[in-house]
Amino acid sequence: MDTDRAVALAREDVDAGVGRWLPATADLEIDLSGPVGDSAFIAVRWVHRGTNTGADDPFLGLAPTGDLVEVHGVTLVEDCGDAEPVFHRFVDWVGVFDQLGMAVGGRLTVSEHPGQIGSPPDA
Amino acid sequence: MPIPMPYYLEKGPLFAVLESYINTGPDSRLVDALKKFRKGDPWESFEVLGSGSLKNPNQRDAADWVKHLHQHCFGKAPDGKGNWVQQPFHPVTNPQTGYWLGYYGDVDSIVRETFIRLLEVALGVDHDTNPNTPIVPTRRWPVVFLWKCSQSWFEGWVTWHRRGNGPKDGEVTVIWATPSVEGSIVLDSPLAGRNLAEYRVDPISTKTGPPWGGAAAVEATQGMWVVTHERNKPYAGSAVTTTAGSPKGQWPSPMPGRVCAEGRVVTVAPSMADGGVLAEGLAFTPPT
Repeated sequence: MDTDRAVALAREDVDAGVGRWLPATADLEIDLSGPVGDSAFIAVRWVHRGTNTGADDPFLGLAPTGDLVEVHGVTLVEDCGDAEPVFHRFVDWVGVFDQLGMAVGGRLTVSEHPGQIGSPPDA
Repeated sequence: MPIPMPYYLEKGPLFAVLESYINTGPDSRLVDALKKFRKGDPWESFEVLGSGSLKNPNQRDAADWVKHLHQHCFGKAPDGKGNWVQQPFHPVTNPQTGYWLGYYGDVDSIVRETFIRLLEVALGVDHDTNPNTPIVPTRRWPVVFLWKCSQSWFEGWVTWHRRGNGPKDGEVTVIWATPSVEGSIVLDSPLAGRNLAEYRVDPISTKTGPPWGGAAAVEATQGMWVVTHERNKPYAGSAVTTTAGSPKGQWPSPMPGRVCAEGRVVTVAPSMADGGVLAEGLAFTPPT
């Protein structure tokens, strides 16, 4: 697969995966200096900017905020020969959650209490 | 750093003793406390923090409690002139108040205002910002404290319920709704708490008895049970990796913190060390 083909496929994949809840306000920005790899895997670096609408297909079931959101990612486009290509996406989801205002609880879930049995009470 | 409490809802020894302090003794105890809060008196002046009931290897005396409050809860440091001061917010060098994860705010003022409001409701007096206004109680409602953490910012909730027209016919429930603290954990199973004497699984009544101590079962003064699945397991990371290959347009969901509950539904009474309550509470004892 050549890099132009990989870039085009990555663009279509981002439009289909992100554009549903984040319709683009500008053309998908592809780092044209970035596509690297061999014939089997090509890495495409991209930035997608859009407005968080998409009430019919909301992101994670969340109500659209109407805010401008910027998504950064890299897609590895895998050439599978005669089969359809496969996409491996590395996306800055933490940045997306932050821009959407999603809260993080900050507690680690554990199966055992680190305190000893009979530990003194605390507050 | 305090040993983290492992449940989402807590009371624990500090609030147990605080309840005992507020709900016993003469009305003047609450009137004096309200006067102090209205005047903005320092935390060192509140005797409840010196209670013998609160002495343990981690917080031995009132000075340690005051230091804990200032440093961890209010995010303050000594200024070298005898004052505790909170530094201004800075996104890099001072992004957080004390040990509250990801939150900056004036927790000291929130806590003080919450105490003013809850004492005014408990005593049946109007809100007043003038510290010299006489306080004449019209009632004495008991106060219950609970601490719920893991939200994004700090709140003090004061709720109350009148049950009649007598001076004791009502109660005040205070909920501290806060961010998580540094080092926070939560047990994936309510059965995994520290197995102290007052802990038991599937209580069948509100009476005390083995293993709560005492031969004869008697009605417990207090109780705090949690009802949930035996285990609440976060998905293994590999099961929801968002980088797995997939066809065009079919993106794995990046939703964080997903949980799948397992096992039967159980009822558990957490130990006081884990934020629960003792059957008879934890009585305030005067500073020695």
